[in-house]
Amino acid sequence: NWLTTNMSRYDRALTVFSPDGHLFQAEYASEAVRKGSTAVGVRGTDVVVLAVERKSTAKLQESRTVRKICVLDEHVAIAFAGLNADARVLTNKARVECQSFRLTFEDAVSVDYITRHIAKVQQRYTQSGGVRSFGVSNLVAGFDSDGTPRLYTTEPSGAFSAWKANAIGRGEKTCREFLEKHYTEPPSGDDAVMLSIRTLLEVVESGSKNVEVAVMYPNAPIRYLT
Amino acid sequence: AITAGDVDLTHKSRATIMGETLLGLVGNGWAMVAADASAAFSVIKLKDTEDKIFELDSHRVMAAAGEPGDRAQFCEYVRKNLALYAYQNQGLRLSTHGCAHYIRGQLAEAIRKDPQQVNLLLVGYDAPSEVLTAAEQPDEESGPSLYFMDYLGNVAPYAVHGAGLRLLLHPLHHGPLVREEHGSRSGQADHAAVHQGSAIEAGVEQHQLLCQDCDCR
Repeated sequence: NWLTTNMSRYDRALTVFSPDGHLFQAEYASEAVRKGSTAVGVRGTDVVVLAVERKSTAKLQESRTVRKICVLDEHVAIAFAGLNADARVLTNKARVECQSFRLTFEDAVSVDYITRHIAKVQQRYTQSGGVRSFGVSNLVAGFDSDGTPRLYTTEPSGAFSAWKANAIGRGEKTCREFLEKHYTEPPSGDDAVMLSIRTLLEVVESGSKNVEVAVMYPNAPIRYLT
Repeated sequence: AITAGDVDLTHKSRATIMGETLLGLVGNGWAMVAADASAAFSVIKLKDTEDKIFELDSHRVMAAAGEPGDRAQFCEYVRKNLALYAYQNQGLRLSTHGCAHYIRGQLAEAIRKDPQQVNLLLVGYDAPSEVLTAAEQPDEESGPSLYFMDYLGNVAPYAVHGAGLRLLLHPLHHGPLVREEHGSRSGQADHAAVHQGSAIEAGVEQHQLLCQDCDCR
């Protein structure tokens, strides 16, 4: 029974390492992410696509108020997997940082900068007393001011990196394998959209109400496909 | 229209009139704001191409006068916070009324902590609500509107700041009321001429006009 092993003595507090070098709370946070609905991101030559699994909502619930793809600034959007409320807090912090950056530097954030900021916040919450980590992984998608498309992933531990295409959430393993097989060269435009939808359909029942797709082109507002 | 060449007392009045001039007008379906373009330090004119009109968002424009640093910083701060509000609320923008009161609140807090020497004229156009009928529509939240704010945090329906205040003793002085006969675009041209005239009287050479109407031009 795994509960009686060393794990149980080192997994209570976030700020304590286990003897074999694990931060169990951070890893458990990743488990929370793996329970969340899937999100897929694909970076193309001139486009970035985010596709998310739309969980079925209750009959009386207004499904359009359940947003899984959020706009951070006019050129950056974010999709998440994991705890909704944690994601909302992180997204808001990122939005404030985007405007704060514009106020100070009279310039838009680069996707790298804002991802780094989000990851920094997530890491800070793994190294403080009395807090727990955000149970959220993010796909940060957008364009730098020179028009280069970017896609980044952040994790509850605060690690982040750039990706050509990635998936997070419940079906991340299956989707990532699918992407590794089918992403041979950066797709353009509609191909990127098709790839992201096909990837998501590996783990989601097909049907327009189960999938939400957002397409971003440089210098254009984000477009949601219905 | 009156042109600068017609008036020969400009150099004299520039020396005596300190401060800047902002003018605002509300018409039938449009609102307009004008600001002089000079940056001066008492009798020394540093610049006459200063842009004192700030677009806060697609439907709101603000003209600001006062300490140059405070003016630029405060207006940028307001603009960015309004943008943040839109991102946080799924693209919903504050009404002009809401903006004015948000700005007024910031100025009122600032006066006892970190005083900002800015006087503002805010104009905006709010599209009428599609849900409420014309009778239910709150007056202050539909159509064009104009707000005066000063560095203390006062908000009022005047239309003029600064030097222009003393000199506008002609028909415009009854303030931001609808002039029915000037509801059309040609009416705007007339108003522009009046603006120019009063601006010349106030001793400014150049100024900018920014009009806000349902096309947000």
